[in-house]
Amino acid sequence: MITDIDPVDVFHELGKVFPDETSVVSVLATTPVVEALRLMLANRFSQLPVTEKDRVLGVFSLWSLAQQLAATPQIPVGELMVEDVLERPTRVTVEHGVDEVISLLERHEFVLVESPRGLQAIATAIDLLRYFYQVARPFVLLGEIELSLRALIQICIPTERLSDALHRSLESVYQDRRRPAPRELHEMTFEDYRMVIGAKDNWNFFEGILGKNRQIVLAKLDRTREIRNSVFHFRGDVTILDHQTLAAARDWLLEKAKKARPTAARKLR
Amino acid sequence: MKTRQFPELMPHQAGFVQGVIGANLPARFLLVGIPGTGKSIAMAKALAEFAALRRKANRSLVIVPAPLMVHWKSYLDELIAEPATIMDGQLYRKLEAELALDANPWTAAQWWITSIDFLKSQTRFSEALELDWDVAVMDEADFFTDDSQRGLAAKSFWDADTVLLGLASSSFQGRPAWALKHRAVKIESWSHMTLAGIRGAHVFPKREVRIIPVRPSQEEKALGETLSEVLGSPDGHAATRPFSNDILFQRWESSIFALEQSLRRLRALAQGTAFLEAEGPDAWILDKDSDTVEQVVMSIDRDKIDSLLTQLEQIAVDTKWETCRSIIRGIWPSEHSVIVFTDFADTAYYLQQLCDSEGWSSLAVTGRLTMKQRWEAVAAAGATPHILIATSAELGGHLGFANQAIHYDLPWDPVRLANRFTRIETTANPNAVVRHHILVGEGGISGRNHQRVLEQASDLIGKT
Repeated sequence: MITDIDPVDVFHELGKVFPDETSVVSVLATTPVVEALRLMLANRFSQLPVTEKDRVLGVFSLWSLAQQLAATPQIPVGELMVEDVLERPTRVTVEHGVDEVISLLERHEFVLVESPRGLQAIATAIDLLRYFYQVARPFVLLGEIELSLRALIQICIPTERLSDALHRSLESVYQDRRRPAPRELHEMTFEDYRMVIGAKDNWNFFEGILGKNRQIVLAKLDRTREIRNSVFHFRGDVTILDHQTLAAARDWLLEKAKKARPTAARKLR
Repeated sequence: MKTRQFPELMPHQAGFVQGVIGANLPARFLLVGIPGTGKSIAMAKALAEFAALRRKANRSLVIVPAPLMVHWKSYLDELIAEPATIMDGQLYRKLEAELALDANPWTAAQWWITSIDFLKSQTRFSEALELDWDVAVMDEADFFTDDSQRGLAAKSFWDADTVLLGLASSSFQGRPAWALKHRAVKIESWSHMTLAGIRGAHVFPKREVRIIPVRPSQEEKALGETLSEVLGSPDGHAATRPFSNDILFQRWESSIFALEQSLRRLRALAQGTAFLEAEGPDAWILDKDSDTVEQVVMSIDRDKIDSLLTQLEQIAVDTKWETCRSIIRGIWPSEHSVIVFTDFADTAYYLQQLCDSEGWSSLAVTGRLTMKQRWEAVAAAGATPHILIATSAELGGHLGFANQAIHYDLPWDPVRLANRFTRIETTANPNAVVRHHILVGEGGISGRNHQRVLEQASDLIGKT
């Protein structure tokens, strides 16, 4: 029976960093070094796999060329073939964990990534950095968003009115859930912050900072909440548009936080 | 997933099925009809009956647009004993990992449903064509050209004597197509169904259209004027105005929220805060729901984006929503779901939030949902009354249970509007009349061109 779930798929393996459709530019062993260098310059590559009859013999790189030139300076570069200037890189497969490969990349500039179909990619530290950036970025953005909402509530609602404001926006909802409503801001969830800010009776506290249209602010926060739930419950992939929406929400809140600074300063005095 | 009952065939559908199962082999059929005429149902039944009666469908492949895969699976699961399997990227990788190195993943099952997009990969395409298929169903046959991948697939099936069943939503309009070149293809055309009546029966519900003018506030008008100054007036010469600016105008006409979100994302990209996959001065943001691609125009400087956003934040009341809300209050609650169409996911989310704040049960179906989720949402709206907010594209199901639709934004393309009409006005809709409320802003592209768009849309699918 074919099932939908692959339990291995959830782990961070190199196959996720370099999916199936990655293509690798390579050169034949008898390619002149000068030609290989031109190809590398045109594509901003630092290394090129060298193949012979679909087999990877090694890698031609700027480092291997430097080593060759240092060892045999009398041989003109124009006479060299890439097979004369190979390095034998470390090889891993698409099933290697990303953390294992990080250790290797601390010692080597790159590793060859192989799959059942042959050479899949050349992995460098920047590839993994980019991958981790993509994985971690939503969490970082959401942290900034949530903490800024908490701060804005604290700044915009006068201290003596905060307790009432929290009560009228959260009490009935938590009563339906048969749980006590949180009393402290740091105990609250994202949805709680959204309800506090979006409550009609509280809106006058936020209007001057967040804008005149309460519904638009609520819709923005609702959209962020949806993406947040997908991120924190690991539900499917976060799309590029989601990334951008989160980044936009974060920037919006940063702008509002800066606008709220004078109010915060006055509160402190 | 809840199984729906396979609908009874209408006479024109039954006639087609009869033709397929009685055909001499190899059979080639092309079924042409506008959306809503029941082609998928007829084709699924034809496929199932062919397999059962002729015992000649040991290996079958259905290639359809991605949103329809779940749709097809639900049909075939009801009609055939062998479960149909959807081949997508996730399953493909799983099979690749599990099977022997040189094994073809398509051998793992006998009845496959896959998408046209999935087969764009040369590797997968070649693997699929390696096998001998008994029956192949291919949707969007009107886009087959000799050099397209689909055209090549059709030719490959043709050469292998596969029974070939194609579906098309329009006549070929001059496009070269494998079917027109080969007289052995039997073309069944349901184009006469654009007029009311097959054998005297009234097939489609009557369409009533109300144009609802939306009168913007002073603040909204001022924002529109600033937008024209910054982006170039939509009346200006198209060659000098970036395509992306038209998209922003469309967003503005859709909702202030859609414009706001777009401007915020552009700003985040300009600032470098947003994660970019593409590099270079122009990066494309894929908006799955409108099937449009929004180009980041880095030449709109941040100061101008900021001034637009500042102006936008001064708008206290959304007059378009106020207008829509009064329409909904007039027709809700209702025995049937009300469909609200928009071309932008941002507007859909905004409207759902607004409906929720009114206490109205609502569902939003956008490209963000999986195919299964979309199908389930549409099924839920069909079962109990909801306000179903749908982006026009990729719905994955007909909406022939509704008798009211609100078009929150009017597409500039009449084909898109026609698609919205035909999603509801299907042969399966039991209602005698379907009312469409089209919101049109004063000024702007929609305001000036709504009559033309409406007329052209009606011409495409026929007035009922």
